Amino acid sequence: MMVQGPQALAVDAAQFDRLLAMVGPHVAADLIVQLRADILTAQDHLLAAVPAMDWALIRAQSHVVMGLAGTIGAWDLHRLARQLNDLVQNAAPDRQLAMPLISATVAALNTAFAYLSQHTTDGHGPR
Amino acid sequence: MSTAAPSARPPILLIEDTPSLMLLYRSVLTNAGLAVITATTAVEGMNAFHSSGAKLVLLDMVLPDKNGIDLMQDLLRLRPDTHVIVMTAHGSINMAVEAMRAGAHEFLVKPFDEGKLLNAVANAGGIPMPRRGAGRGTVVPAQNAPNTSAFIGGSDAMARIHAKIASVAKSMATVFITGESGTGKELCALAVHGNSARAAGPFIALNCGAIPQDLLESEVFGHMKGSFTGAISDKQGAATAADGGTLFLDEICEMAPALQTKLLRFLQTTTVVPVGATRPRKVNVRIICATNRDPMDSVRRGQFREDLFYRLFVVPIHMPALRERGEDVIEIAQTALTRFASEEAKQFDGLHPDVQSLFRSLDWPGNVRQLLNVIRNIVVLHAGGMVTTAMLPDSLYQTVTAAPILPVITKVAADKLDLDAVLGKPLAEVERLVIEATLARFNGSVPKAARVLELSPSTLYRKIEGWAKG
Repeated sequence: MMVQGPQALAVDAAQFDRLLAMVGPHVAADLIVQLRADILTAQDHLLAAVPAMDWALIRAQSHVVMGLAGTIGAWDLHRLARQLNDLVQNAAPDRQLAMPLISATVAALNTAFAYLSQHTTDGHGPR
Repeated sequence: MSTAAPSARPPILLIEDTPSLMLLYRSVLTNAGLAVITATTAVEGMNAFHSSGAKLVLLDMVLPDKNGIDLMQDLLRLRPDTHVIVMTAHGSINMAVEAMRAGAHEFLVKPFDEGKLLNAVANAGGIPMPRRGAGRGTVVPAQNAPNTSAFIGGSDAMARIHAKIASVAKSMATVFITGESGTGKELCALAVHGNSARAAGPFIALNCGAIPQDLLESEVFGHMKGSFTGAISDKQGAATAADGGTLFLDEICEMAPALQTKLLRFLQTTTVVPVGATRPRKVNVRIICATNRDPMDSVRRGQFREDLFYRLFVVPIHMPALRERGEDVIEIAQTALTRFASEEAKQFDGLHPDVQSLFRSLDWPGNVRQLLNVIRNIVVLHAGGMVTTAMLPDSLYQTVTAAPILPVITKVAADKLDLDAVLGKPLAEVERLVIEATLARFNGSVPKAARVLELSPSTLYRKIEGWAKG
């Protein structure tokens, strides 16, 4: 189930294949669709949190992204979300430090989304 | 909130707000044959906890409407014997310690694989992993059925249990096991089965208190396709599945009166009639049942049929509470420490005498199950070495029977301490005097003194140990 192209590095294909094998072919397709939806939702929430710097929302969403990224094997995304989550655990997070991390996390979410989209349409995936 | 098909045991409650992760975990659990109900918020989770009777909860630490730790504490206040496995994407030691200290049974860091999740569920106790296709009862393979050596401890109380199991196992007599929660009633039933001539046959366990009453008849006796809405195929019940083996009916006193009548008829005729069937089927089943209630009291209250009681109460076995088993508490703790440490690849050097002394003095209302949880908690949260009182979870002291608590510390201090004697002394010395006076007031009981001083007992133990070292 290797996916070729620029998104290939975004996700650890071996980890992702293990994930699909774990749930079995009947659930795999639904899982990919749901993962894509969850990535978009997290991205929306992160972006919505920026204008007012809603730290609680950023904290919650970076936690969600860590869970999603680790599950699919998107290790770069996982590292960024972890850094962001660590930063916003502080009582008074630094906006200047947070912004680049949020931007990078949003971009990495895009890449992971693209990987999942390609995976479901390239003829090699379970759909 | 979604519901799964009812099982012989309460379903696992999965509280996770990220839909894809929910789908993933649910899929792993249901593929393993476990019944699961799900919730995506703390409010939904609490409702499901109430309605399902779940004894095992998989809980995400970050929920949209409540902190997972707070929700866990709410759940444990409602049902202290619940096992909560906390799941989080942030694997910091601080979070793990916070979760375990708050009462979590285990701490899983996302991502975790299928094996870790299922091991955590199995280790949570009380929910053995059913084999696929085994129906809703729990089938224990004959080769795994324990002999009486599965019980740890050489107390007189347990020696009598061993002897009774040995004497009754070879017969076909119905066994009625009583005892508090956590005393090992199911283990006892397994031992009877494992030592019997039908050990090679199935052992089917059915928790009568965990199945909706309207489905219980179908669970016990089976049903025919189309016999009621949702009966999409023929299903053999637990009584048929146990043919040639043993049917273990746990929490028998929870069985609805209507089903008690049918169970009595089954015992009299040894035939089952599935729901919707017209022809009975003969089965060869040995019955073992258990309850943590006083069955005679249930009879007196009219909740349990007297004629059924006398038919079942042929060979009674009463499992002793842990507090009645003398040195067994130490033996079990040492054995569990070795086993859990091995599982976690850690090295522990036994229990400090103070810990042993404390263990002997505790009431252990959750019995062996509670003791095992305490030991697992210690092993998970500490690197190794000798187990000291400072390593014990604070929750342990909540089980100490509270004596009437005297009003406030100032009253205690005023009784025994002269204010002039402490004025001008260093604060640390004043603190020590107050603590010693409080301990004296409670005859040296650290848990009781800690309660009055509003300290955790482990803090108090640390201070006392510090003074001893000088």
